[in-house]
Amino acid sequence: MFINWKMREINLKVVYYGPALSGKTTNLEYIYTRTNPDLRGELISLKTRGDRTVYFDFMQLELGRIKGLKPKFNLYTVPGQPCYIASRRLVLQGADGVVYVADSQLNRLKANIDTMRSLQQNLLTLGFDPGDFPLVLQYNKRDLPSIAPIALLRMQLAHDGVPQFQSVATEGVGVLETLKSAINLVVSRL
Amino acid sequence: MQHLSPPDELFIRMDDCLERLLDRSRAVCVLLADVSGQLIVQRGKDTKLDTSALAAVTASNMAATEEMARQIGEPAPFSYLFHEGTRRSIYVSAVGETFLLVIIFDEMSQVGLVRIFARLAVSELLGVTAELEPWLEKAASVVDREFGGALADQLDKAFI
Repeated sequence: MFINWKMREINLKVVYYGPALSGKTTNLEYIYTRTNPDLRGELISLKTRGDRTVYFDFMQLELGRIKGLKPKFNLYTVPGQPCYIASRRLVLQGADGVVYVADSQLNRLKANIDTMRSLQQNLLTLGFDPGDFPLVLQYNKRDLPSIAPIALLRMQLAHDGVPQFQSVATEGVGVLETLKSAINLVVSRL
Repeated sequence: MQHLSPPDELFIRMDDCLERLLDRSRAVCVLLADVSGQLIVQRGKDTKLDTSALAAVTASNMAATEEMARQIGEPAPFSYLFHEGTRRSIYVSAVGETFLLVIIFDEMSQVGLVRIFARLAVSELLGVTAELEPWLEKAASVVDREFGGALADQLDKAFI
């Protein structure tokens, strides 16, 4: 969080985190298409030629002034592939909240668990308490066959009180609900 | 009554410093951002630049070079980075541990000139940013339940 007293803006950073190909970039792309063009910046994607996120995606969403302050939300994704652990830690720096995008497919359960552990480890490294850090869970790809039951995902990934959403990010289902929940959670913690 | 925001004088000094830097270095645009990529002040002639995105990408680039320094066993982070383009170039310098100074310039200037005036500006900005730093995390005084409610309403209106 950063208050720009000069421009009377309050800047908050929300990071979309999760295993490779879980739909983090798809979330951001959908948010971008649905946001009033007057309220959003450009969607920046640092991708490889193979269309995989190599560093991060970024977009800024700004709202009208509230009590004289203009809220601005900087939305980032991290690269999901395990080799980019250092990049994920860098993007997490200064984060006010995390949306964890889980891949619901049964064969990705281990990747989900490993990535959640790496998130907790990275938060610890950055000086945050993982048990108290604003986190929203999104169970994505609910339209695919061979998906894990929600109860199983919840047991493996969630802890008490974490807001959870089911989604099909390719169709936009659950995407905006997840974002709104993350923003409200982050602001409620200020 | 306790002041809820930093004194305007700090921002005036910051503005003056960046204005002077812009003028002396003959740059196209100068930005001051924090290391997490939040834009604080900008000065320049090119109004079409998406300076918020530029600040975010620059901060990440600087963070990545810091990691590079660590990986190769450098005892301290690199203090600046420079990318030379065919039309425009970019020079980024750390301002202490919390802020970054970004200078975009074209053929009207030269990297040597930019570097000299960037150093002068950094030493001047260090004084101002040290005074600003205690204010950076003071949000609780402006965010209350009423703010949260208004925010939820605005969020609903943001999507089409």
